[in-house]
Amino acid sequence: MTFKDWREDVQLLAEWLKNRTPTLPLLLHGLEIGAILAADTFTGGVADGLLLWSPPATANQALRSTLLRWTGLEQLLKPGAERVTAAHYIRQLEQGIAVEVEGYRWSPKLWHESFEWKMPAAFLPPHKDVTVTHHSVRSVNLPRQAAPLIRGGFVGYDEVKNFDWLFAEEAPWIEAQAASRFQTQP
Amino acid sequence: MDRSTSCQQISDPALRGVFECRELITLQGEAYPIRGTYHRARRERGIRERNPLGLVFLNSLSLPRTATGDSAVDWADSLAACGYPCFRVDLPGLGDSAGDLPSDLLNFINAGGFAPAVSNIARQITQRFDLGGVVIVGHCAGAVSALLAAERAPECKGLVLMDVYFHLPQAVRPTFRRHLSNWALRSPTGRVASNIYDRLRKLRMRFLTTTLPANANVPLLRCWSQIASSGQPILLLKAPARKAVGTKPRDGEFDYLQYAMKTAGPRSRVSLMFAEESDHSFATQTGRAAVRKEMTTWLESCFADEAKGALQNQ
Repeated sequence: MTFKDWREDVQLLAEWLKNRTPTLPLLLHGLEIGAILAADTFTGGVADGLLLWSPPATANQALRSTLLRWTGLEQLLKPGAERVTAAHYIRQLEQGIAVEVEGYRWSPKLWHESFEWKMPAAFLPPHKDVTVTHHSVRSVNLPRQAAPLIRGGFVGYDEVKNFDWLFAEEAPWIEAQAASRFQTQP
Repeated sequence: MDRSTSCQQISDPALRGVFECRELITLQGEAYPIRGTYHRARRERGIRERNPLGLVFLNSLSLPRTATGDSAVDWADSLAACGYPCFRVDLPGLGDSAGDLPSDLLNFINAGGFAPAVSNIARQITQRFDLGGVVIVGHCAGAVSALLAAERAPECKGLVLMDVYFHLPQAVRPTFRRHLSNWALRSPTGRVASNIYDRLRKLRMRFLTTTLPANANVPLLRCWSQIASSGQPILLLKAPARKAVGTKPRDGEFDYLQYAMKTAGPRSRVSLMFAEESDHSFATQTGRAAVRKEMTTWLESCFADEAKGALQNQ
């Protein structure tokens, strides 16, 4: 599991989609680390638009956020003596020891590489809408109500949430990008 | 994606093997198609090839069919390697399957809302893949759906129920209650208060040992009793829980597992296993390994003899 592998997967899929239906608009959409991967692929010119949700400055920022969220929950469910802080896991990773987070094995290599994977500054909030080579990029920081997609909310997240509102807010922008693509087609 | 094309582009032979052993499938749902992944059985199993037994993995509450940390993918891959065709499906409205979910999903599941869909899936998979039947695997709310579907699915030959619950939890707890729980978990004073509360409840339980709690899911317990007493093999997997020891609940809580074992009847074939060093998701490396081991052993002990017997009869 490396960022390079994930990037290759995203590029392969985006190119496959583009080749399969070349006349249809292709929008890339990513959340947190997915936003960095989507932005990376977008700069290669394969897509017509880019929608970023809570893009972190670096992949490490997103890993830390995930680690904090996970240890917060883990700590609360364990007796006092067995509780381990996020700082402890970070020290382990920095000392070359792999840790297990939400069922996934995080290698020290993944942790170290995460500092190098950065979001282009122009795509980060507060720049909500930018244009790159005639294509639109929208960047949105999700509110706390979007937990557990992002950090926040109550322990255990025992609510089944309806996230239609998240997409409803961006639907006009998505439609506009699609319309713009059709207008520019010969 | 065309699988042959994608496989050519994957240079690692081990990875290519993984993709060639999986296939996306579509089943006919009541309103919309049901999407799933089929993990082909890899190892030749002789007698079982004729009418193999399949394993159907259900979603846990609203999680996609991969489950936490892709744990369901891991189990399906390893059991397919042992000779059992495995199927991970997204129930209507979950994961890749279209459908309208009710706003109170938990209550819908606890009332058997997914049972018709699960029995339909069991029937279609059995017919389409020429199986001798299926074992339905469910985790948490998925285990409730599995149990309630088994009652109406003759194709169901066994059940694996991971951290099944027999009570009716509140889908959305009042804000005050959630703040109180958070306080009890976070603050030292809160933890002391929580312990006192547990002891008071334990004391109260001593006077109520023979009756089910008011929030018991009675139809589910009735269904359990019927399925278990029929002799259908059932594997109950229990993960460690907060303030609980082994398969016992925390102080002051009703022991549903003990009750379930008692009401299973003399013909029952229920195995209760405790997955040590795991958590409720069973997705930790130790949890996954425990589930893999327990399921493999249980499948061999329950179904290997039946397969041999069937062959002798032929």
